[in-house]
Amino acid sequence: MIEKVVSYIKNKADMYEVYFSDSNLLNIEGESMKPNFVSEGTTKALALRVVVDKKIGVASTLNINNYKECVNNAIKIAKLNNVDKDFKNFAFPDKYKRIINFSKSLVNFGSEDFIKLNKDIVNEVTNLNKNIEFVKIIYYKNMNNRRIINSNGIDVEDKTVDNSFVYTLRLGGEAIDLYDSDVSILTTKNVGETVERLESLFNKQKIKNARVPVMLHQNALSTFLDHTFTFNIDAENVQKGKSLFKNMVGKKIADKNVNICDDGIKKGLINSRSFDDEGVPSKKTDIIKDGVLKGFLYDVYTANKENRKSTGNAVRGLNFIPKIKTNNLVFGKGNKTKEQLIDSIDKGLYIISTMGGHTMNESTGDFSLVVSEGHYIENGKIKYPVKDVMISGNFYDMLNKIECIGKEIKHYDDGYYLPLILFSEVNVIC
Amino acid sequence: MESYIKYAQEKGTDYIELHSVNNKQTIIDVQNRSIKDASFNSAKGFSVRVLYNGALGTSYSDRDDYKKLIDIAIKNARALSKENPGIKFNEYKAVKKRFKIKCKVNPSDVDFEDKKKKLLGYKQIPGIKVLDLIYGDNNRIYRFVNSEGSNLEFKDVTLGLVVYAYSQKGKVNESFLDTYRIHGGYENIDNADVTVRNTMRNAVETLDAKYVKGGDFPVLIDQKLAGVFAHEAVGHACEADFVLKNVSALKKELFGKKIASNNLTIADNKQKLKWGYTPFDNEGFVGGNTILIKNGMLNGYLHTKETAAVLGMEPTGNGRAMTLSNKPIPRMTNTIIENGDSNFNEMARSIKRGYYLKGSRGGETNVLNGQFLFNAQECFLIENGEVKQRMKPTSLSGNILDILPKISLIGNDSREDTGFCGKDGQYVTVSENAPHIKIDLAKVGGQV
Repeated sequence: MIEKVVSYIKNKADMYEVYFSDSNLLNIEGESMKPNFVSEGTTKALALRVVVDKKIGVASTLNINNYKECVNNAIKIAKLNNVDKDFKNFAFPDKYKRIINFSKSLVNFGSEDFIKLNKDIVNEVTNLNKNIEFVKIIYYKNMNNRRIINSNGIDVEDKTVDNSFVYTLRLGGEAIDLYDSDVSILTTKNVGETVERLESLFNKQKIKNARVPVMLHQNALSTFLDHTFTFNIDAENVQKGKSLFKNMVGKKIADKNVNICDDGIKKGLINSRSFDDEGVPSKKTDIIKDGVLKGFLYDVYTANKENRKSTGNAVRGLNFIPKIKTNNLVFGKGNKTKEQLIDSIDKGLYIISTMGGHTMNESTGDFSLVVSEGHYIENGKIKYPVKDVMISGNFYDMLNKIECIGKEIKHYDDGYYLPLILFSEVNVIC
Repeated sequence: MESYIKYAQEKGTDYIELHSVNNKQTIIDVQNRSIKDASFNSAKGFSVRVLYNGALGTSYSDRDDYKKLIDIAIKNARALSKENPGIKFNEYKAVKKRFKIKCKVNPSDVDFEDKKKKLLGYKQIPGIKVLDLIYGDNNRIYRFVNSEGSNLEFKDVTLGLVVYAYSQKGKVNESFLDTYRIHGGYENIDNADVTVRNTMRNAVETLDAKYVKGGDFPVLIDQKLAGVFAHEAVGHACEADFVLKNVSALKKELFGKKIASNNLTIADNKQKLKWGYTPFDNEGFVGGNTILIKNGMLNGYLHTKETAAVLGMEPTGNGRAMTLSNKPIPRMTNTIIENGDSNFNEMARSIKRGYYLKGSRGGETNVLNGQFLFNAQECFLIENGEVKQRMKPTSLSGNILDILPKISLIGNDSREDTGFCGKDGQYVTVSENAPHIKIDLAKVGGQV
């Protein structure tokens, strides 16, 4: 089918890029320990970018039999568009490192196999604490076949498969999520820690307003990165002047122990892949090194604007216009164990989850959040979970006030590889 | 369609639905008076949902090969049914009805050139560094048929403009976000002008503002924030999936009991032609106005067929799914706080020291323990009954059951706000319609 599209588009456009994806999704859900809903289906998407007289047109369709209309729509938009002086070209062919995220056993994993995995999870949770109830189960498996062809000779194709689950577990008046995602079949490995977190949420106590050290769990830290940091390292936001980091490359923007990179190529990381959605090879990009801002994440368009190479961070979202997105954001580890970090706190908080992350100001990093899962620490010991606490401040001020960084890196959320971090002072409102 | 229904019934299904969607969309992203992206997008989709031995199976594709879809849905549902998940639907009367959004000018008939001219016409005011406008229009036809004989169609037309304004003064940056959205035609587009203007003005004015002092204060909240409050603090807790799992703070035992001040009435009205308008839900149920809190008493929940059957109540038509592939779950549509009788000045006068909070980037609720947070995009100090200087944006937090009785005054100036609500990874259109309200004491985030 894609060949037909290419031959139809060839004579109509000066340049073109054809993106085709065929995905098969398996979604299983339930409101008790027994799943009761299953959905399976395929979505074929065709997304086009064309250039006519130096003007760009974009169109997409989820109805690929209708590809001619899609091509004509893209041409129509291009003709009516302004000339974009910053647009130079689409990506050029390059060398690709082969990264295979296509586990055969996961490909064959179906609803009956999930029922078995679900039983294992239910058993393990129930064995640890028989009073825990299953409020919600959501499982997704996504198989995707991508092919990208453009007028510069790029023709690349790959297949990926990944899966994730979220179990909402409840004990008395508290509930938290058991989460995992991977490119292979999931296991019960996160059950123990999650049950422990849930069991430790009882007898919450109030504390007093203070500016105190705060240790962020990977889960809480990923909220900040997701809702403000990724915005500010997006080259488009930098070029448009929306990013706080504009004109800051080479300057110190964080504590000297802060190292952050985007790694799209390391084997085993969930979003690693050979090439991005424009056909550019994936790579590792330093963003902050020893507290100094090194650079940003680029797609071809923003890279061309600065005469540099794309970092391979283009993705196509729901509306099929390429955007810049992190692959795997990796925060460099420190040298402290969790126990050593806690031990160094005189009076402070350990925050595992917050509420309202999406309401923080993405460009400035100002936030005001509810601590939904946090513990009071005194004299190096976790004392009790806290009640009715908010934290407030600015994330970039916090990045400059880092006391210590943990030595263990954990995968949280989709593509965040993070340590525990102890910040020296945060506003705590009670 | 009848032959497919018969085919599914012969294969042993207890109930079956067939769905189809046809969608055409234009998106134009304009930054600083030049087009950044423009695209035409179209989609066609077909799906079936079957109830088979107590399990629900859905399958979908871009082709109307319903037999194949039925086979896949049954195969998967059969795997789940071995564990006896026990879903039951009650039987309902067939409904045959067509719904259509009336518009004078369908946006799909408007030349791209005209849309471009309109969008490029918005000029930045001094202090605004970036003005980002994302325009979208959508023509969508959704058809629903089920084994009870229902046959429904909704021809929808929507128009929207999302406005981001980024301001800068020296080293201080601020950003502000607002939106204009409507079910209707292109003749409404000029109504977005005021949204664009206000968003830029707010972004500039916030530059000079100081941080708020955090703590417990009386607050006056505007229509938008009051709407978010109704949505976050009450609406979610009234979604019946939470109630039947006994994880809602507004639990069954509170039904019919007084949980808020007498002057508070909150409803979900899906038939009102606001942004959350849902003439029938994704289970083919029409429904109407569901009163959640009536004069302070807990009065209603939002149901799917599944939750209604378990709780022995009537469905309300709130079973909404983001796409044909998703599970319909109880969702809000148009959340409404009925007008009270206080005017703005009288409400402000009742506050000695507190805050006037306006606008919102949204909020979040833990329905189980009742904890919620909602963000305010604008914040003003109130001293001795007077609204004074602007402060930096902040957030409010509290607990549903603690805060409801603390709503002491309700304004008479209801206004609509539009948005999307996320639950279990599914985003659906919602609106909130509320007047100003005064809360006697709430926790405000800020510096210590």
